[in-house]
Amino acid sequence: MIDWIDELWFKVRSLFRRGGAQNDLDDELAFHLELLEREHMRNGFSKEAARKAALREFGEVESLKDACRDSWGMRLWNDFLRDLRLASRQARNNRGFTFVVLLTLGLCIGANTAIFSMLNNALLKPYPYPHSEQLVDLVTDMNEKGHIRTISDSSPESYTWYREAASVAEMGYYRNISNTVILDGIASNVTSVDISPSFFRVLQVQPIHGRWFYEEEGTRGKNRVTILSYDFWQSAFNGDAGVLGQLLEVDGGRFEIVGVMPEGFYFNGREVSFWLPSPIAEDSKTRNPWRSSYLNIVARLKSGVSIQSAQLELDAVLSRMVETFPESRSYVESNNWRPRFVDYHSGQISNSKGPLLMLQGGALLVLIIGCVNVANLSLTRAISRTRELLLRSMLGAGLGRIARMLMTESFFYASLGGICGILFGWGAMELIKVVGLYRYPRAESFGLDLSVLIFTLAVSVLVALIVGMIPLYTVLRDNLLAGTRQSDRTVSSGIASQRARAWLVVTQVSMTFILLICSGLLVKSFTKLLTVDPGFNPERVIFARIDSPRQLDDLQRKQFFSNLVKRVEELPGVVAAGTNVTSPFSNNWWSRSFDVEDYEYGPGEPNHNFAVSQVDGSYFDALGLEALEGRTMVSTDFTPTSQLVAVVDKNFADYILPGKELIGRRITYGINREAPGDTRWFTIVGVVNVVKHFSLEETDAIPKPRVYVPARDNNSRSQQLIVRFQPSSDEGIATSDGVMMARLRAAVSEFETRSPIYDIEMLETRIDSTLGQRKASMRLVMGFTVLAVFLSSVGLYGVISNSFRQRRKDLGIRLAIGAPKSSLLNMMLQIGIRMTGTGILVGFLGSVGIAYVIRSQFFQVQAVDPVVYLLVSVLMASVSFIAVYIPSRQALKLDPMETLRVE
Amino acid sequence: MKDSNNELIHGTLDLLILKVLSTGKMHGWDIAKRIFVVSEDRLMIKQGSLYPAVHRLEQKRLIKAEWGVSELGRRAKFYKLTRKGRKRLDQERSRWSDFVDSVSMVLNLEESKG
Repeated sequence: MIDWIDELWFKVRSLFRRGGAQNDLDDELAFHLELLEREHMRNGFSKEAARKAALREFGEVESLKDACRDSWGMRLWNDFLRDLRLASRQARNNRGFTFVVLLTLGLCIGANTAIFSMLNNALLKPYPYPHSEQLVDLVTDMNEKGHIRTISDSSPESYTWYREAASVAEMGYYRNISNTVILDGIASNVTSVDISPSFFRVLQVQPIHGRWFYEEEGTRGKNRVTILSYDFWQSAFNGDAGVLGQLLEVDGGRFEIVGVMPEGFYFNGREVSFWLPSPIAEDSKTRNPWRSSYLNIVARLKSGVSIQSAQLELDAVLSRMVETFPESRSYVESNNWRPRFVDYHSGQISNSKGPLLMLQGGALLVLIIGCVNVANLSLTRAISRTRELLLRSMLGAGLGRIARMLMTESFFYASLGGICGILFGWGAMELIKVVGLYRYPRAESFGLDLSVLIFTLAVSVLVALIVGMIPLYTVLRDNLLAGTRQSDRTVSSGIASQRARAWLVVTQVSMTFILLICSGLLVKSFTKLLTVDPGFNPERVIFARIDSPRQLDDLQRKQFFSNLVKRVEELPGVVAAGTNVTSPFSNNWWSRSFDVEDYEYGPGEPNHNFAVSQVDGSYFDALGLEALEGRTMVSTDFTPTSQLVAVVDKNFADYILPGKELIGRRITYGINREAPGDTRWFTIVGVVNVVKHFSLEETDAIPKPRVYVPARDNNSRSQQLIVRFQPSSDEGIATSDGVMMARLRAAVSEFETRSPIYDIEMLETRIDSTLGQRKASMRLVMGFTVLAVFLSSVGLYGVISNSFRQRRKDLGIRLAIGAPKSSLLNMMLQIGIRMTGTGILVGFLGSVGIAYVIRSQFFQVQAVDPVVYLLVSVLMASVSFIAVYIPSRQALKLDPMETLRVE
Repeated sequence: MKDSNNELIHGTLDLLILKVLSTGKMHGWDIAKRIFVVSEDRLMIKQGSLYPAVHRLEQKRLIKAEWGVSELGRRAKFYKLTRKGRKRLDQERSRWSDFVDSVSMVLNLEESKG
């Protein structure tokens, strides 16, 4: 081993003093020659004769030098350099060819580089927490009527239970909150995260200043401390290292700054300004854990513990919980309620994995098409160089030597193509960033990096092999192996090159076909998605979030929002305004169990669990939700003394009480068994449409009935404001989107300075942004398809016309002996159509398979959508026919006598 | 006797060069001359075999080259054995004598008189 390194080192050293070694060799041999000469002179030769004899005896000096150089083990390297010089000379002499090849390879490799950088960034890079493979999320599966619903929130009570599992090294919870901070007397809204003191111990990321939270800071009264994020520390405190010990004024209290996290530290991609330790009730262990769930839990497993074995413990914890609270048994069992650990990394990437793998696949198809084009060009060129290659082989170059020369050339082009690819790819990445097509996790770290460069290198080597092998194989096969007897003009219509061309055509047509199909299916999915009715009218509707001041009590809070809504409704141009805690596309969700009056549960049927919207003001009018039956709410429904009412949606009508009269029926959060008279009943007064809540793609696979109740008590601090305004033309009031949003913002800050209004945007924009990832994937695949169609129509034409040009002699003979041009044209068309037809067939079958694999990317479109397949088939057939027809006509425009004379 | 050159197998030539160099450093010409003289004019190594072999041994770091001044006052390349080369010489030498012994044992087989 050591010897081997020693020898290599010696070789590397001599590599750098090659010029010197060359002179040394000359000197050494000249010295030997001189001694030989001297010896001859001693034996009585004249000086002249001695020299001649010495030279004669010495033999061919150059070949001796060669032999010595060979013994240096440098021959392959020297050949390589020589071939490289030859290749670059040829590239310079043949600029058109070089340009086309580099452009093609650059675009195709660049597309792959850009997509891989997305895929690598979103899926492959490890998360920046030490031993991030030990991190797990805790979720809960609930089986509702055969449909598994996974919820990511847990209750504080269950957290204290799960934390005891022995395979858990540390567990923490977090909850994103928006907060008002007062800096230099100005209130601004920032995102903070309420966390358990253990949270940073789970992630194992150290602060750059200060410390983590202590465990006792998770108890009430001792939690007046905070840790800042790097960005917030920079913007609010100018990165002052003396910030520790200072007080941060968050609405309702002052918090001592005890730490600053490092730059770039993030968790779940949220922009966070600071973290606050959030106390959970100390008696939580003695309370039923099946209560409202609002904590996200992340845990670190002990090293070496698998998720499977941790899961067994979690199941054991669950049965202990059920034993402690036997009354919950029926709920747990009927819902198949089960907490589950999910690997943190795979949980994070689950949404972007499918689209990104699909995009990489698309980029790969483009690369194959590009390689086919380049392979065809180099095949044509290799054939035109047959005479040169034959000459080389006759002068004694072995087949291996010629093969090495051709491969060096293809490596030369592929590496230049790779460099262009990196440039194009880098440009594409910047473009993707600018136009916002990167809709995947960790956008902040997206860009060119080492692993992307390695990937590009690997792709270039692959390209070199593919592009080099095809012409090499055919040329060797047709010409050099066949021997040198044939003239170079006849050999070029060799079988192998014709067969290679047929393969190129089939590959090109089929790959393009597949891309067109996928693109077509994605576009169709998207257009379907755009026509989905969200259940309400989002036109001219503003969405905004508002937090009430922290110090208000329940009643004051209710009053605050009612007054705010009244104030907003007075604004010029506003038609209606209302609040909700879980409005559509707010990403907020609240559901709870209900009892329905006179409902008889079937055997084993779990309690009803409905989504809840707590609304105020003219929420229904603001959203454009009309009553299908009965009425929506009126202002008197919100007064504390009036009868409690509820509005339900059509899912409730269809799935809970199909065909029954709903108006006047009562529902409740729970019947008070001890004192039935105290049960708080809501009387149903109307039925409205089902609204899409998280995305337009929501299906009714798990219909979730929704109940709207008036906001009268138990109000959340944080609500969404929905405001509808009128079209501009009416009554001369300007009501463009921007004007209305500015007007709303001004009115709210005037109304209450301690309440920031944030996330203010048009509801249509919010709906649009849920389509972002799908739109991005669709646009990228469409981009690939355009590139592919361009490359392959140019390439197809090129391959076919080259292949026909090779048949000139054959055609000439046929014409000369009287074959009519029309029958020859037919023959050519048949040959061409057989190739492209095979390509279409292969592409069709391939598309069915590939579309099936990526079917989860489609929306309400089958993997075998007849319209798309028909359209693409017709399109490809027409393009192929043109690509066959034109070269056929051209090939026949020849003078038979001339063709034959040339032979 | 000239023909014997062609029959010199590759490994044997290396062995001879290493052995000769074990007596001290010398340049290419002297190596050939010394082998010729010691073998009583029977082994003549031609330049065409000598130099590639010497360079090969140098690549393998069995011998080391340095430039010096020859007896004629001219710049010349001298070779000498490295420690690695000396070890190799010992190995090759015992392999060679093993080989010679075994070949001669076979050759000394008594021929049948039938």
